[in-house]
Amino acid sequence: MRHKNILYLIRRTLAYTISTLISLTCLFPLVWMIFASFKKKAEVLATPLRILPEEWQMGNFRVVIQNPQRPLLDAMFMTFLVAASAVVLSLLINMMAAYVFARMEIYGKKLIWSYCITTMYVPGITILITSFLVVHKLQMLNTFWVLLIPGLAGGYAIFFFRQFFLNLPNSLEDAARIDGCGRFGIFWRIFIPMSTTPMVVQGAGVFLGYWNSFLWPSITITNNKTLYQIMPVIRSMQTDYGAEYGRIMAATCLAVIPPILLFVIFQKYIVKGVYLSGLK
Amino acid sequence: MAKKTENYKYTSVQRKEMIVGYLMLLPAVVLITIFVIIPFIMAVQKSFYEWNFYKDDVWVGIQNFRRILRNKSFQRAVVNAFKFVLILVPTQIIIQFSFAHTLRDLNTKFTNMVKMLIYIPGTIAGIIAGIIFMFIFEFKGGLINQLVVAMGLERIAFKTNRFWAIFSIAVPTIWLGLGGGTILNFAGLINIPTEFYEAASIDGASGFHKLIYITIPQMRNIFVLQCIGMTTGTLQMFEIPMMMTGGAPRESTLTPMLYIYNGFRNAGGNMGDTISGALLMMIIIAIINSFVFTIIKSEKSIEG
Repeated sequence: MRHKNILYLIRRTLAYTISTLISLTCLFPLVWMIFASFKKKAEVLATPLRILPEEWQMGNFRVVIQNPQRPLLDAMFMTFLVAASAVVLSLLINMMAAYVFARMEIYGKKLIWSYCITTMYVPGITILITSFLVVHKLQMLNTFWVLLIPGLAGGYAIFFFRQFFLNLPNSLEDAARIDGCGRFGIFWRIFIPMSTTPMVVQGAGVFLGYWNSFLWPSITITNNKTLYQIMPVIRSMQTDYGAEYGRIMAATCLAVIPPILLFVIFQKYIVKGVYLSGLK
Repeated sequence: MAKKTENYKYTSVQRKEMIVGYLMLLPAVVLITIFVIIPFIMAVQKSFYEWNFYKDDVWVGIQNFRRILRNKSFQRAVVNAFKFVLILVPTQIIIQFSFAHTLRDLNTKFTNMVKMLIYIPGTIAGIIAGIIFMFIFEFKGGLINQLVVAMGLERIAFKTNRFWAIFSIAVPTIWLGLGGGTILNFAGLINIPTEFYEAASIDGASGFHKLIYITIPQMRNIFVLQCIGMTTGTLQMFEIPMMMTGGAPRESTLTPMLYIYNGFRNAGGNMGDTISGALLMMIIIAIINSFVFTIIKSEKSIEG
């Protein structure tokens, strides 16, 4: 019996140690990025290896922020504006549609449903070039709208919310009906307040998608500096600074703050969301 | 419209409500039409033309498809994509499952902390992950090569060696996916009823037997789900290969998405080729999806 206990103890200690090590390894690239951002140019790729910066200096941050060619903070602000607007609008648009699909009887519902849902099977790769042609025809290139609008509605988001609405009790509508609430009123006053978790999950996903997007902004915003988005800016900094990784790492340090902050704030919901989307 | 009013199935109140319903659907339907359906129809149509941004369309029938199927770079890109699927999908599932399994019986506070820490990289963009790992894999003064040299070995040329080029793409990809995948696996493991294990213990089953006969079969749906997601994701890999290797060496890490992006960038080339390549990728992805869905459906019908 005692032998077994010791074995169990060893196994558990080992499990704790391995898990801790993996977690730290996961964070290591980020820590390495932060260290590098404070290092002087000569230290960053120096031999012998230097782990901590000799002196924590802000020079790299100053340079990347003040780069007149690539206004980093402006780009971060603009990206934030686009992403935040996208969260609000896409939640509203997709949830309205999902509500109709889940709760209302309308003529042609099945047809419209499959029309919306099949878009899940069209990969972005397939329509990249022709989407560009479409926004070009609509004269949306180099405007705020080309960043915001094309990604708003999506089959997956509608599917996700419909699934959630289907599981809410039917009595919700009946009670509201008696109070004389219209359909939109029911949606607005009852369904939206009840959907905090899926809204945070989906909203965080939309925000990350917009914040991290590279391809679309890099081909649609070419000559309007005020609309530059963060990822294309970071990518061009790589060409600007070459192997001066201290500078680049300072820029990436700033660029990962919003997504990480968002995750830390809504952590509980997002982890729950992984369950929600995975365990249907 | 006329058809709707003729429909006696619905009462007048319901018909009034229907208008509200259509209005609520309108924004989503309009946006999907303009930014997905129309581009898709255009893609199909344009794949039969030879054209680019400066030249008018010339009808060429299925010439584009023929050309793209014979195009060495595109062939290579598709083969590479499947190579990445074969490498990355099993590796990631094994890592994520093993890690979740390790975490399974540990203290809840501890596992919550671990889950939070490992998910942080999941919020980071492919572009940034690419830059960070380029820095770590840098030939001269990068962290890995410094350690390699310190151990008395030769520096690794991550960009010019075929094996290491694939490795340098695999590592950031695994890094980005680890958190979400582990959390998903962990949730699946926790949902397995403990009675199964208790019964097995009474029968004298070893830990290994429990893993093979209870845990893995119970996790099947999650594995299948991960398989679909990862496969379609890997076939469309773009940002990390672009950052890490740009397709080098000799197109051995060129992905279909990268090929299409390069085609788009080359504004003087034939866009028809590129678009027909993009359509072929969609067909491949759709086939894989429907294949896996049929497997799941037949499973469910057996169970139900």
